[in-house]
Amino acid sequence: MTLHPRAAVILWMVLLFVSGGVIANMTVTTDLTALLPQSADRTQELLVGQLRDGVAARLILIALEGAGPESLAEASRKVARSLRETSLFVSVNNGDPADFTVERDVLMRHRYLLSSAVTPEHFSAPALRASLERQLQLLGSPAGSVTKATLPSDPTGEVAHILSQFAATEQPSMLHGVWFSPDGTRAQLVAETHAPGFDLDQQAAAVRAIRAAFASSGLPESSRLLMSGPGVFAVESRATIERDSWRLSLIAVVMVTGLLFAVYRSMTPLFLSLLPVVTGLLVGVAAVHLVFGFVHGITLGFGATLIGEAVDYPAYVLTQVIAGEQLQQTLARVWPTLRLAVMTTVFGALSMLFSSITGLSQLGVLAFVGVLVAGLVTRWILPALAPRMMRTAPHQILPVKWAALSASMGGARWMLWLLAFAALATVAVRHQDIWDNDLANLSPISPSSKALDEQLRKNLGAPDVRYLLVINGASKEEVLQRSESTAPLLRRMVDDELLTGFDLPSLYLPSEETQRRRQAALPPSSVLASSLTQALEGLPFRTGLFEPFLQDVEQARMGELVDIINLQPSAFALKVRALLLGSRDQWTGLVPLRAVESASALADRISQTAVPGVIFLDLKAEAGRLVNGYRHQSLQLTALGVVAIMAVLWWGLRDARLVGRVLLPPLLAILFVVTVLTLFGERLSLFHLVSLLLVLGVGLNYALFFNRPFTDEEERRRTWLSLTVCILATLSAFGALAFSRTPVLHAIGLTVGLGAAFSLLAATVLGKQRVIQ
Amino acid sequence: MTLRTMLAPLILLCSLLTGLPAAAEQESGSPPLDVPGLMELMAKVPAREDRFTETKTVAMLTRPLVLKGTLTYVRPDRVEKHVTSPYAEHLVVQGDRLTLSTQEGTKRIAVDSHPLIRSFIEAIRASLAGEVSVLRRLYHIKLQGTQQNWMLTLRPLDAQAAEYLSSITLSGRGDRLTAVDIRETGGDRSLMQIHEPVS
Repeated sequence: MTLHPRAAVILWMVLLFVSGGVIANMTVTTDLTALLPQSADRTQELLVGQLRDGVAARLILIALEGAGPESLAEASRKVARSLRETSLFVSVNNGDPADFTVERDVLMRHRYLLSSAVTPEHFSAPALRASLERQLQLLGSPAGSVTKATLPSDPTGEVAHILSQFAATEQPSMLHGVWFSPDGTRAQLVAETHAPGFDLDQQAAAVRAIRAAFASSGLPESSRLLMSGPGVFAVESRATIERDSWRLSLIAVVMVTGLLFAVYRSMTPLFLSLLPVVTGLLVGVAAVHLVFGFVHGITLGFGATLIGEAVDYPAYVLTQVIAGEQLQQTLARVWPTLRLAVMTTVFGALSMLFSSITGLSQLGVLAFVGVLVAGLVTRWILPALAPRMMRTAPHQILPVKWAALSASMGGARWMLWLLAFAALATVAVRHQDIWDNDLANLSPISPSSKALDEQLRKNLGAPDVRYLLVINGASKEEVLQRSESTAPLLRRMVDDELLTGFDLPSLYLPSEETQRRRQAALPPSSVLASSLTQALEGLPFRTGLFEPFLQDVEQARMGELVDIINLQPSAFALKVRALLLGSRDQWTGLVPLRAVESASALADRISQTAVPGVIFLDLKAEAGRLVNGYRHQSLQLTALGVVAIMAVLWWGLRDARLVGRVLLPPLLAILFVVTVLTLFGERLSLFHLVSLLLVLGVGLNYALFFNRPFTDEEERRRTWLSLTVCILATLSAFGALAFSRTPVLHAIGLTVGLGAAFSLLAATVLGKQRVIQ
Repeated sequence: MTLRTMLAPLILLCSLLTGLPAAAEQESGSPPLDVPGLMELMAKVPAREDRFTETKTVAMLTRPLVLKGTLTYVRPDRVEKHVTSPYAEHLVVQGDRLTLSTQEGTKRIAVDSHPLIRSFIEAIRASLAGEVSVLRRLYHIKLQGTQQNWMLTLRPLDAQAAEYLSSITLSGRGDRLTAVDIRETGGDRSLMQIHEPVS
């Protein structure tokens, strides 16, 4: 294979240019749905829908504390007002009834179709009489000032009745006219963002707006702002991860640079070392974008880990340089082994390409293209860009006699096997404890933040983020009817203290059937007028006072039914939109539940009852199942990848024993890592799994080079140097990550660090270095 | 409708709190009275129970509503209004909480539901506690008469409040409140006369 150096460089630059162009116009998404298998069932779709776009995911719970209740209440109003002025929130609620006027108007307009009190008897003379007497008494009471304004048009008090339906469950406690914690120390607000929960940039903007509103609310220095909710957590996690990865990357870069400089004592090799991995990452990401049309944020995050192996490629070449030779000559010696190292990884990644999970296949494309490109750059670009002659040989940096060490290690083979069996036994016994299905454990949110969230949620009666009822139906009407049949059930469960409250789509938008029934219950104008006259007998109301009432009933009787559009622009329209989703022939109603006491009892009751299409959804369990499926498939594909790697090794080495010696160390290393992590109580997540793939790649490279035939002692020494540099680079880069407090970074760092060390150890013990005469 | 609705609880409170009974006290002579002096006097009011008659003139009705019952006040913030005629109704305000009990059941309401209303509560509370400065911030105050027979007229300074509420006139003898007259801009009026204490 020959390629003119200049042609290679031109090709490379074109590739970089094109990839750069693709990446400049790249769409990065953080939308979880993009990662779903195409065969995802309806429940999982719903789950992801809820995670990304659900009402619960868009709520930000806010608390103000650290000042007198009066100043806090005033600040609560100021914060609410200034947040409403931004266009970031669908609603900002602090319990202040003065902000309820739009909603009142909407209820007033549609009261006779929305009120559950509307029955034929409701408008009979005796019932009207009772209503009027109640109104008269109200006029005499302080509440009369409230009812006076709407009395002529609403003598039966429908608006008040509808409101009491909504507020059937316990309301947050109030102080000075706004929501407060029961102990009166915190003023509380709930804000619902326009942006879905997964849109972290928008969520971050919302969080900033809340901070700004708090800062200008005029509270004293001693006061504090508390925020909670999925969006807030996600923004915080991202910030923590970014901060952590910046700091740790900096440490890693300094350490790796120091190491490479100690070895090469020159800047050129340092610069050359970066080229393959950077090119690989750029081209790989561009390839993902070309194939899928978008790049997922997670792909980017993992991708850097996956092709991290490519950092070692130039090291394998540059450490083998003999003073005075051209890099081309060095490559001629190393390339057969390096080629195999590249190809094993490339074929290993190939298996992931076939994943039905978009996320995994994106990773597959990235690793496949990225590693391949990095290998090619090492082979063709490095020698083209390197100075014609390498002036100095790299320096030994560890004063260890590797040959002796390796010989003594060879005797420890039986011990390695013993350890392997012990590890296997441990893993077999504790196989239940290996995997972690709880995504929450990867979140860097502190337990105190979680506790705060729970408390705020409870005080505010905000819906539970974990449990949900789902009502499925073929039409909107069917879902609403089922929602109506579910209401009494839920009310009974509230009475039995299984939960404290719920929300139903039919509460805000009754089914057409129900609305028609109510419409039919409204008496014709003449009938109502005579009943009213009869009811007014002897009461001191002025004649003609209730003319608006007669008009409104007639209008409701003859008018159209209420649909979502009629509820606009009130908060009820938004509510219905959030609770009632669907299209054409598949509709879903969501029933957020508040403070679920016993999920299992609730689930039992729901499954026992005869309302069809109603299911109880545990989002956390569902998310666990999703992760499980993801992992299951990754494992299967990895097994497939190992088979592919074996085939490549066989093709390259043509020696079964040698294939075994190369393949065993990384596999043993993976076994040891899993064992150690399990013993230390660390459960394996997807992040660990992807890291283990890197361990496989790195470990194979170690073993390949370790078992490389060499011609003289000098070459053996150089190979040792290669391995030393590679392992030290990996350890310093990933070791730094292992100390991160961010679970994700910690997982990756620990797994790769341990895995690389174990790989080298196993390779040393199991390896046999052949001498070519 | 909206503003009236918002202000309604305010009127409610005024009618409640201004109906507070005052301790009967013998005053010798009739020294000239100023607002601070009256406030000082009011601040000494202990817990009391009085009978009242409230006459509500409402435009919607052909005849006024007349309510009778008792009013109870316990320092610092508990007020009870017990209507005995023409129907039974028990109303308790304790701090921020209003509890209304009728034959039909009990309702709990957070009284303090608007900054505007809050300022009114503050005014009443302030006049009872003798905090002149708070009162002056919210109302235009006019005091007429002598300590033996005074009349305190409060007109809201706030434009929103003034749109709904014309005036609240409190009359009294010494530290005893004898009448509360609330006039709404729409013409409706509530006059509560406070009689001798319940013995």
